[in-house]
Amino acid sequence: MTNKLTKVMTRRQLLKAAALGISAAAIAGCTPPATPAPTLAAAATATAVPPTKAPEPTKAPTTAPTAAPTKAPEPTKAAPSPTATQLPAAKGNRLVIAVAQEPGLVSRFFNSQGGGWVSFLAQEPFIDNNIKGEPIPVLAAEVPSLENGAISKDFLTIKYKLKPNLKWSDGKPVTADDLIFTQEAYKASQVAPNVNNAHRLMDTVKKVDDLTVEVKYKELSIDYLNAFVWILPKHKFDSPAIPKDHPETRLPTGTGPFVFKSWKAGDEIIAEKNPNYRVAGKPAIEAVTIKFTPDRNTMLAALANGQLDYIHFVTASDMVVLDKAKKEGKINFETNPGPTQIEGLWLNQSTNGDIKKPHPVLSDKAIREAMDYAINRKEIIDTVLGGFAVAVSSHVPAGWAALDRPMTPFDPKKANDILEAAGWKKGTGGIREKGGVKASVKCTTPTGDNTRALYQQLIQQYLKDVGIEMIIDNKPNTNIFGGWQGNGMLARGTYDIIMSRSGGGVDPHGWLMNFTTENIPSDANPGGSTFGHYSNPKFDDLVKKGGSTLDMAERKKYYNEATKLLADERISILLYANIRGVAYSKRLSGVKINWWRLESCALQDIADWVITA
Amino acid sequence: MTQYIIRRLLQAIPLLVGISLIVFLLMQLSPGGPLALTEAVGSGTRMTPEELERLRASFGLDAPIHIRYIRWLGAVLQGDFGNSYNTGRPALVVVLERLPVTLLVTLTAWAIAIFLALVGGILAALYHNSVIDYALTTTAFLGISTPRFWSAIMLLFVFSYSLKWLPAVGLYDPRQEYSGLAAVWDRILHLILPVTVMTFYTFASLTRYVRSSMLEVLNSDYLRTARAKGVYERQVIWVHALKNAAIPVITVLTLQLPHLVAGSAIVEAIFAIPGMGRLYLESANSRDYPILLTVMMLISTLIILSNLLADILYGLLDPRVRYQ
Repeated sequence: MTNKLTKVMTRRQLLKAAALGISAAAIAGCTPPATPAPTLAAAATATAVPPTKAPEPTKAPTTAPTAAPTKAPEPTKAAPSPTATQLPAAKGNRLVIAVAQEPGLVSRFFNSQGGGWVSFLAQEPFIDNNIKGEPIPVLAAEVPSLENGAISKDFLTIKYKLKPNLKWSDGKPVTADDLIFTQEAYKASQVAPNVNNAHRLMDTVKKVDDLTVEVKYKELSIDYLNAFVWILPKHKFDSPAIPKDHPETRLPTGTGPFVFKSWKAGDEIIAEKNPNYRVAGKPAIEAVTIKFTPDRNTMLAALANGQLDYIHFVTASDMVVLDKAKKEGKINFETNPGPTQIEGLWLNQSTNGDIKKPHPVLSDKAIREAMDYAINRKEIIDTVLGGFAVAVSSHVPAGWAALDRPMTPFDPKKANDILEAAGWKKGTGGIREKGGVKASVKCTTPTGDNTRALYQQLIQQYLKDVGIEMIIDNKPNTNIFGGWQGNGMLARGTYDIIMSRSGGGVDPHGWLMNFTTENIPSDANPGGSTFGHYSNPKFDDLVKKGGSTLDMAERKKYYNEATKLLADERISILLYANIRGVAYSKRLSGVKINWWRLESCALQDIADWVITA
Repeated sequence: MTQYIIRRLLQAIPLLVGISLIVFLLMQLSPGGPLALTEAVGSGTRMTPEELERLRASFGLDAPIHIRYIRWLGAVLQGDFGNSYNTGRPALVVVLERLPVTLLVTLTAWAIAIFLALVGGILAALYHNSVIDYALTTTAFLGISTPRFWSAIMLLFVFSYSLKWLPAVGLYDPRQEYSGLAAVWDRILHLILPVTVMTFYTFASLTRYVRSSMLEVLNSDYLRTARAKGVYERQVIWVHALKNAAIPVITVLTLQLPHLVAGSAIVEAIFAIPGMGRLYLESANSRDYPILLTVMMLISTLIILSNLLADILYGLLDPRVRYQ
């Protein structure tokens, strides 16, 4: 009897122990041998101690090895009321920014993928653009130009001069040596750098004085304003062969308004005011926390309840919801048309990529012109896109090289007349025919975008109304944009119409190159890209001329002519351009949109932001 | 018993190698890749072929797939799970530093769910076909059929967006530095919504099992015997009945543990909790193979161990089950 009882007891005790110990066993069991002890201990604490238990000596963050640095004494802190000593001390006026995706590396010098925008808090470009697309000096003393003599007559030698008395956030001066080191790092770094064309084309970088370097280019570089866009502090590196695990690749030292303090993987990056910032009295904000928040609904909820102050990168699909929240008085939301990314129908001018064989339907200008008149852009923008887009009339709608041109009106009657006059007669099922060729084309856009799918169907209907049949044939992203080697449809020319979004930066050259003959992908030029296999020597010549001088007025003239040619020939049907939006909390002010900064948009002016409440 | 456990653990090794092979192949043969974005035409980050090659080689992607697998397996056996493509940091460190947060959320939810499910399931069984029973069964069905992302968004909308009562993001307030009880309270406030979402689902699936196996046990002869010899009703229910009803429940319970860890991904992503599930989602998006493989191996190990745990618990609960 006693024997049996003990046995039962033992079993019961075991059961209890097991229930409690499941977690511990699971953790211990699944931890591979190489695990460092501290992590295990942390895991055990996290599981064994439910949050309701007595105050823990180890504070909130469970994993952070980096939490300590933020504890630095803060002189500006508001004194807590004497009666409530337990109440938390305020972390100054701290701005909390939400970003959907955590960057891999923050330093813009190394980050060629999304997320590098975070670096704008600490890193500043040499030259930036204002909202008109004009270059403005940031770290530069002045923008190099022919007028101020910084650019040589043959355009190959350019002097770059830093502002005097600039300091890195650690107090060391910014000098010409840093510029020289930056170019060396582009060539020798072991971490693949985010190289731009200006640096690819540099031959030598010579020191003129402490603040000036003279760059000799191998050939003329229209990207000369992008040179030194990110400068590395030489004193932080042993050699330009920067190793993969160098701390500066993750959290760079710069000249910007903030200094990165810590990065808790998967959670947040913390930055504090740069005491050595070049503008006295700025920034007005003491500290910034960048919170990785993958879900858009969560961002909005947190913006409304005051947990967050600013949402980084508002997408077009967010705007309807954000606008509603603004009307409910919960958040601030502003938009500004930033016509840089254009949604277009790229019309194939070739047959399967062979430019010697014009496309049977789309090479006829009457068809292209009729399509342009047949599409009701206003309806697409107002109904499908909630009004958050703008119609554009040319491939270069904004910036110093913008072409101002009247919009093609929505006029299906005119479209029909054009087709009739050109000999496209209505045949079976209302589809027009000419010389045995049916006006029937396929339209391909990446699968999975519901908004696109909606207006794609609208376009199908518009075209049907004028007798052009458009068959929807959507494909996964990689099938369309796979490049020449990946057999991508766009590169190979194996499509009729592709609908996608693209566009240029401040300088239209790179974007317009996509319509030149020389840039069409082939075995000899697998890295090329084209939007429609357009080949016109006159256009080629204009773009080439635009790229062979650094005289801005000259360049503008050539690009305007080239853009006008594209528009007159209706080489692409431009549907709309995205607009830019910023969403921020009610307590924040001073946020301005500059759409040229595709990634950083308003954030680059964070030094001017003020927390009011 | 010890022998049995050792044998089972040894059996797990070839199983894990098999899993790793399948996972490795599935992952690397699926379309896209860590460089897909960089390579894509019109991505804005046009790299020269040499620069791309430099990047590819730095990821070890220049070798054929079987060589890559052997290299990876060899390194793993030496405890090296490779470095993340995104951050360059050791994959194992990255994964393990995210694990505690996931465990905090899932185990809290798990513990609350078990407690609620036991109480709820037993009450429903005791008051069979009563209002309590119907209410609990309905709640359970609601819990199972509501997707977690939906209930999460609804809770966010009501408690964060409209009422502004509860925080939506993260595990603590980034603007305030709390200490002592205030820090604990801050943590609890941030945990309420995610834990509720997780608890609801687990509770719902568990409580049905507790209820049905309790119902079965309550009508058995030995309970009548126990009552007949004068054992208190409370002891009859919580000791005699529950222990026997627990056997099927244990199966569900232990098998749900790895499921919980994996399933927390959505909740972590929505509430911006820096846990392992979210790491997995984000790594899947950018095809960060080393991280993905490490998480997969961790979850596989967890599943194997939970199975073992279930088997051991059977033996403890049911004397008829004996292991050699």
